[in-house]
Amino acid sequence: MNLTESVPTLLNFSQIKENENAIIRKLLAYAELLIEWNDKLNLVSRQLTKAQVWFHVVHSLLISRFYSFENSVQCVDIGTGGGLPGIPLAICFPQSTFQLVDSTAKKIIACQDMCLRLGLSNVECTASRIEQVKGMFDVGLSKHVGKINLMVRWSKHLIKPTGHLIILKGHDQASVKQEINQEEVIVAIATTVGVGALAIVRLSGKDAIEIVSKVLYKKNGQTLSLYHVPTHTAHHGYVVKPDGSLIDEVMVLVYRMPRSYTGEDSVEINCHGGALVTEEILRTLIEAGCRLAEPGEFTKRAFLNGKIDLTQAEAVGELIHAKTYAMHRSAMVHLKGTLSKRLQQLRSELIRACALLELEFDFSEEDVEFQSRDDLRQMLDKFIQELEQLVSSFEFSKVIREGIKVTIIGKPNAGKSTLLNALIGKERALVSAEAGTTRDYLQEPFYYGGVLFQIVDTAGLRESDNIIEQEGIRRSKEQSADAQIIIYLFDLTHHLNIQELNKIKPDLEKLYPEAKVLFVGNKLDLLKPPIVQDVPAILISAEKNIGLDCLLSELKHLAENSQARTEGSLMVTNVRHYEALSNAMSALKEANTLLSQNGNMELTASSLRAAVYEVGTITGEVTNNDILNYIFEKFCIGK
Amino acid sequence: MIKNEYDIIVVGAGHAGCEAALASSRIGAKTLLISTDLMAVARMSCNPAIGGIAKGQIVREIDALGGEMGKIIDLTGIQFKMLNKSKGPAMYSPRSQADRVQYSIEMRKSLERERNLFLMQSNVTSINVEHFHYKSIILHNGETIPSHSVILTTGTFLNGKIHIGLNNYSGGRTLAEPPAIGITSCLNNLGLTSGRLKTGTPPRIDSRSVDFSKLEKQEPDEIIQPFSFWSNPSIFKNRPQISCFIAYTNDSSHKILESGFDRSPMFRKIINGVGPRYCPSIEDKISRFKDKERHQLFLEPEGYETNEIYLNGFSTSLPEDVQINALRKISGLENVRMIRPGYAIEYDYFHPHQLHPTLETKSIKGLFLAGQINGTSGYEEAAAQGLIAGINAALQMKSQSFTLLRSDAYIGVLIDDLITKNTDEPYRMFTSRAEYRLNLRQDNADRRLCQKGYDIGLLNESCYKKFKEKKKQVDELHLLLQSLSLESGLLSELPIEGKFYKSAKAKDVLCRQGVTFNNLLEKIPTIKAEVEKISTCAEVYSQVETDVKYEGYLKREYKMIEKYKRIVLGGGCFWCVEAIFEKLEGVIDVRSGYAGGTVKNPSYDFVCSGKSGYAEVVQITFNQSKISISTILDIFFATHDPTTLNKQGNDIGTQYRSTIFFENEKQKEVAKKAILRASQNWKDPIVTILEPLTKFYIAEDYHQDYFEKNPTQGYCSFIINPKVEKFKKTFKHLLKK
Repeated sequence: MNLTESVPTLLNFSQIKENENAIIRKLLAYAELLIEWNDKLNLVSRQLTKAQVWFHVVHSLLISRFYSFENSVQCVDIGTGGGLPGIPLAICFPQSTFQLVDSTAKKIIACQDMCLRLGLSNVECTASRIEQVKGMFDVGLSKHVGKINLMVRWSKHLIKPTGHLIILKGHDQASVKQEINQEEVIVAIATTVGVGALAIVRLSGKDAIEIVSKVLYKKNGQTLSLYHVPTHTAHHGYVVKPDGSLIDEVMVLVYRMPRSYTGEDSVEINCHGGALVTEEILRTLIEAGCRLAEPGEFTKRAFLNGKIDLTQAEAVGELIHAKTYAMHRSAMVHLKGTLSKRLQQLRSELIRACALLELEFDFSEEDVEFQSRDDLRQMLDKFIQELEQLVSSFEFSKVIREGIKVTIIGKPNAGKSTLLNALIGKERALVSAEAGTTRDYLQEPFYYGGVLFQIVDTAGLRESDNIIEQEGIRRSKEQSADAQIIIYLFDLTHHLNIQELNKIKPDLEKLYPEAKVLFVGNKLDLLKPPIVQDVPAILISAEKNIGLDCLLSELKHLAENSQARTEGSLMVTNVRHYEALSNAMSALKEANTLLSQNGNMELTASSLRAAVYEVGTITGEVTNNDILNYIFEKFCIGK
Repeated sequence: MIKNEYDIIVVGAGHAGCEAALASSRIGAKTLLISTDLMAVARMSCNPAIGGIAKGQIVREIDALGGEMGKIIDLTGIQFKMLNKSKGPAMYSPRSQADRVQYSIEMRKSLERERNLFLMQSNVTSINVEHFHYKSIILHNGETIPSHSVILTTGTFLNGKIHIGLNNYSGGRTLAEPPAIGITSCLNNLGLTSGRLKTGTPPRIDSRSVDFSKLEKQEPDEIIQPFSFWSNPSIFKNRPQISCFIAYTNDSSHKILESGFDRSPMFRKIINGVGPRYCPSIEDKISRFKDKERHQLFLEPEGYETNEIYLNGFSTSLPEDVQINALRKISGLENVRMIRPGYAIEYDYFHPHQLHPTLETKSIKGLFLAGQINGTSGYEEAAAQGLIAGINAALQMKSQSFTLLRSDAYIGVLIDDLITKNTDEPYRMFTSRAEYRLNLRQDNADRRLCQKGYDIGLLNESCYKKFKEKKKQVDELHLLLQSLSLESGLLSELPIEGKFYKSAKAKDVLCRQGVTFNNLLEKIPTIKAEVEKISTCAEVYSQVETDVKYEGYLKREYKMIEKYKRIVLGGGCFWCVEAIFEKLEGVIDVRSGYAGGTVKNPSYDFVCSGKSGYAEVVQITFNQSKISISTILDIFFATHDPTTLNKQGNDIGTQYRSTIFFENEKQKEVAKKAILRASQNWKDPIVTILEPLTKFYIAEDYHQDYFEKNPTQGYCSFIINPKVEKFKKTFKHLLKK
């Protein structure tokens, strides 16, 4: 692009023709200065060629084709960087004033220097965040600074009511349109569609509050204006259709940006449940000027506005689909970004450990102090402990995701299948009076008190000649091996007494050290009164539904105890993370062994590198440069 | 066509230039070496030493390929030392102080011995390029000399500026040498971008003015291990090894230095170039590490017949009076005389990501850059690049090329780092930069590289023969240890923790901690006899021992790096490609991004414009043990249309080109085969291109897992979903469970 040719055409030099050459000379000088400063400060982009500067200058001057700067207007250049578009315009239009604003002080220093050397008296440079700039301007200018909505938000207070905000963007219209989209208010029904006592309709976007105000009325028929209500307040009102007919009595919650989920102005309308009411409210709001949100758009906006990070966004998905309280809690911990924060921390600690070792190899000639073996070992021990916790949390998280496994075992015909059917509330297992009816195991989920259980019915344990039954018994044993709770079901009519139970108890506990064993006596209804209550067991009748409440609350109690361990602590729920962390752990253990054997340090380093590599697969690759950077920062290196 | 008088011109006769010129002429190209001062070839402008940690390994590699540096330092070394002896063999690094003047003289002799190599003293001011092909060089007097290719090794000469205090002068290397003006702007105009770096050097002092009794002595090694695999041991005879000395700065010298900070060109920001963090000036060290009470200084003699001493660790650009006054506060240097002051030098370099792995510039054919011009520091790094550039310039005439991988050599790491990661400070090699560190050792450089050096015609016949003999001995010893079984009774003599209860393989015994090859020979006479039938060479023994000791770790090192492999593929809109590969068993991670363009950190908008050169791609990380790269490529070809140029369905533009970015030659070969296989399934010819991967930029976060997160979005449900469903059916057996 030839500047000397393009500038006159661009500017339509009407009044300033005589200055044409002077202006072009100044623009050329500016370009030189910009390149010079850019080399020092990286003002525009790292490597700036002359051609690129021409392009920027011409792009800046293009504005003058759409807005006349000839009538001495006051302009503010927001996020000016290297003085674009402010300085080229100031050169061409000395009659207008330009205030260049950038939050990076060094860029402003560069601008000041360039203006001074170009002899521009109509430019003022301010190092400040845009929100803190005072004054009113005719025109706000910006070139490639931020998203359109942000620019509008930041500069609102600076532009006169009659003023303009001119934003230079790239040539991709689609993405500009996408940015403008975010200005649009989106609306959606936030609760499940269907019959419910209450429902919530949610709006988010710049004008969300205004739009709701349009359809909201007080009891006395006056409009209920939300323009000036503070954030996080609730308001009672009525939603009315444009034709004046009432839809519903509602409570409205107002959230002002940035203190909302999406980071934008948001409103939640709590209305009565039912498809009709919510649909009507939705339609009314759309007529008032918003559009239906795309799936996940609220979360997307929250993400784009920097309210949540990616792992959090993923956790929102898990939260929505969380089936149980515990799953909900785990998702909440994730949502706060704790796991990703912890892993980041682990990563930087590992980099430090690596750096301390590498220091000895690459800088053994230097006069720096090396870490003592004991310190290193302690450091590794700490990592190993931490990783052990994370790795074992995966097992717990499995429980939470898949439910607590309750296995019913017992002699044939104790009524195990009947109990399963009673618990899940349907006839799932085949029951008969004949012993050994259940030959394979059966697994069924059920919820109780917000806890997900997987209940497993097994084949009765006995010596059998039948090959199929033998296989069934083998599988029963397998199934009970990883159960969290074992129900030992016995037939009360078989006169099992305390002594017998006490005899079985240690065997069972030895067999299932990880599980809690619950003794349950069945067929209570068949016992003839008076019932002798000397058995330390829960007495039920699965068939007649007696004592099941008692059993269920005991199950819940046990379940909550086992989950208490994991509640609130970090959990690894992703298999890939689990694999990487356990690999890292074993590599660290190896490093530690080598260290205590006083083996070759380069082998210790090799193991440590393996650990760092594994953690890096989750948190982002650890490069050799990360390690060198740490060394240069912390140690005085330099022969 | 008129034949050029010279095939290759090398500009600059520093460490890079000399290796380049020797390599190209030895391979058979008629080479002209131009220097502004032919009396100063291979001059050590900074510290008078060759080698060091990681650098020593590089010298051994240069030597194994048939380069010169190792031989010259063996001839001119005055203090040989093996560094890192207390660490394992992978860390051993040879270093030697050199006789600065003799080094230059010996290198000059080597240059003059080459029949194919011609010398010229002159000044090159620019080069002629036509249609992105290099044509000729232009000398300061306007004369042009055409050649097939040119290698620029201009060191610190490009617009060199020397700073001492607030004074600065134009200078190429020392104050006495003029800088090279013109080449930077010439290359800039050809589109190559440049930056500015800074490096510094300490004062040289007169040994007669130093009180050595107050200093710590640093003795040379008793046994010299030569740098070169080919040096005759007799050359070290009658050459006394001399000592270096250590002094320490102190508080009062720090105070004087600080008093000069207001005249420091660094702190006054008169110097704009970026200096190396690992080699800071003394003023930098004092101001950054305030609580460090003293800094170590090494007094390194510059030769046998000179009083000049190099004061390593005292690099500075403070004014002369501050330098001398601060030195005189140091114990032992109270009466020191300065022969020349320390200074800083700023110079231009060209961002090395503009280079092919052959060190030819990507944009101009026939133009090679090597050494400090690429942003490196150090004689060894420069020499290594010179060697590679020289080899490739010569091989280019036979339509061949030569590159080394990160797993082959430190030289491979060096060049890969430069061209893929660029650098914004002078780049120095460290062992921690090498992933395959346990294998990239100084002791096995010959086994890693001699064959390669011989194959390209650089390593001469007699060296090759010597190498073959050693290799044969090493291989046979390995076989012997593998097959030899030792009775447990014999083993009781060895220093082993834990006893052997039955007989064991000799190799397993050697593998035990604490056991050395010499132990075996001393304690077990049967082995000694067998071993000595094969070899009596200590070097061979130690190599075998190291191999055995490292074997397990090496395997893991390789497995770790090899386990997760990556490939970057472009097959239209990355949302689709990502959605498909996410589903495959063995695929660990799929990320959407951009590759194939030149601008840094491209945005989605920019890529979508179709003018960026970038393609929308996905980077697939997969576990090799679960899914092969061939399978991934087969799926790639089955799930997009590789026959439409720059177009996938309605998506049109170069950003949607069907492309495979290969990370190395191996991947390229595999990709070629996959294209062959795929061509049988498509009626039209396949237009998929193969491009070398320079840099993968990850796309903005909202593109990641786009299909997963936005299944109901229009594009996803109409375009992607059917594709995914079709894929799921066809490749059911390969899906994640």
